[in-house]
Amino acid sequence: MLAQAGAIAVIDTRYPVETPDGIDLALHPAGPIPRALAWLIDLIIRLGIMIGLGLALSVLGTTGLALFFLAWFVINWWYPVLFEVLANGATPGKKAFGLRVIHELGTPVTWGPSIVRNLLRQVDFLPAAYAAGLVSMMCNRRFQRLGDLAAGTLVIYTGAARSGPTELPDGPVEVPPLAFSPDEQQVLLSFAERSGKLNPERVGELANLLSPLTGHSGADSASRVAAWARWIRGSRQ
Amino acid sequence: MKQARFVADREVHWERYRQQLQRLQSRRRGATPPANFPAQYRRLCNDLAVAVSRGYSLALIQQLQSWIHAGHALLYRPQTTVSGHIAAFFSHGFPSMVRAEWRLVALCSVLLFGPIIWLFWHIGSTPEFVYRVLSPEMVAQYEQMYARDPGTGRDGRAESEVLMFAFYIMNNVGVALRTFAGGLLFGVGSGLILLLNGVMIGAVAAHLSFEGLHENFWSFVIGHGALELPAIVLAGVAGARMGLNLLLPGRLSRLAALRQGAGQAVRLLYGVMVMLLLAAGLEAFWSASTAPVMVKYLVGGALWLGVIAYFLLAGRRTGRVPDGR
Repeated sequence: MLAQAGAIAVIDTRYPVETPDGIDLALHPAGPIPRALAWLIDLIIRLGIMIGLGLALSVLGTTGLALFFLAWFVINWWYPVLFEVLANGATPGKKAFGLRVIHELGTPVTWGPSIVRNLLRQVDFLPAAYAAGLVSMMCNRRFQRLGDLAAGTLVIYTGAARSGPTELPDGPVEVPPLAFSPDEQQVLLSFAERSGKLNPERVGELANLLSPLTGHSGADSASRVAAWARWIRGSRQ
Repeated sequence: MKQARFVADREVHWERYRQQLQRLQSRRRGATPPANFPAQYRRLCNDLAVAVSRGYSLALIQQLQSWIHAGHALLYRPQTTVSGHIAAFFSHGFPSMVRAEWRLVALCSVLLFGPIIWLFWHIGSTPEFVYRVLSPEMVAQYEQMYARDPGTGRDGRAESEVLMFAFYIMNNVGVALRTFAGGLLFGVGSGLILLLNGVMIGAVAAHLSFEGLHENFWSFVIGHGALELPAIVLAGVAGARMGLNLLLPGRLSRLAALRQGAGQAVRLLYGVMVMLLLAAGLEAFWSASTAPVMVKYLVGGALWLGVIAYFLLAGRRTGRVPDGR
């Protein structure tokens, strides 16, 4: 149990949900910027549909205008609700940014909560440009706007955007000089896996923290840590 | 066991689970997972717990978590079988929820009908008061709208009736939804929208009545008004319930009370939206029709009685809904 808590050490915005199966799922709530951009995309799509429909229906005269009113009603009020409930919690804009609306317990969002969170946009928008929603998102750790708070929903990253297990580059394998705890092993593994994504200076700088153990500094220290990580992971020479 | 061996050992199972997952996700919503899926899912949960407790790499843990989350979403999906509940909702759920909220219904009715009655009394004695509420252009517009002989209807064409139907849906349901949303501002928003609507309706109704257009006006509005005005009141009730729970959370935390209130409010809204759809249909196809004034009054009166009887009596035998306070 202690080790589990350590796995989701709360230094970022991730937040654990315990499932009935006794494990923790780490959800990654999305902040205001990607959500605002997703909203903009949705706005453009909605405007596009309305303009397209407006042009197409103008041929039909009065009946066309009637259909236009109905379409406006559906798109203005129900566009997000329909997508959230029927298309896996994501409007096209949210999907483009790898976002998804879920219930706070990690389950898919249903009609009631989706309607609440989308109708209450009206209030989140006040006094202008989602200012109330922004303040609300800044006041809690899950970036919930007022509508999310009332509905018990949140917007998360789907994780599809992030890569799967990173392979360690092949190299020498070395037995570490100490018996590391699982947490420590994990830190070493993460460091070795991520060092390909960092610039070499930063890798050296971080590896210098372990100089007393590695007996080297800079890049040499880093390659020694990588060798330990391979051993921890069980890679063959 | 080292991570590399663990992964090599389990990879086959993960791959099978993922294939199963993809098949389930691509199938229609609500598809029942096959019997062995929960077992596969639990194996994966077990693998995750093992990976976490042994300090395997975070990338692996995150990968397992994302697969499990996808399975979790399928297995623990809340059941939403709407169709079976609709009949029960309208036969007793909705009216008993409304009865349970009778205090808020009374309050919101006062907010909407109060200004109407007051303006009737006031504009009756000082007719020019209407210009304090409405601009002269709007007054002229309303006079023109109701000046025609009720016998001729609006212009009698089916096309324009459909147009008005669509317009009423867009406009009226929009007003109702906004009335609800305003409730989050501690109920103040809902109250204000109800008051404003009451003032507008009251001013128009009173002005037209005292300008000699009472027959045109009342024969037009009495039918659909029976559904439309109560629906707006109930949208206000839904908003007020949310605002009230926020103000007076009782033994719950403010957030929990708000959520409970929002849950109740959204169920009221389902009823409100259906009422407004019916009202829009009545307004476009019946109120604007060429039926004799007397028939319109009779039907309108019957509709008012029917709506009131529905909310007072329907679903009494089956008792109160458990979660409608």
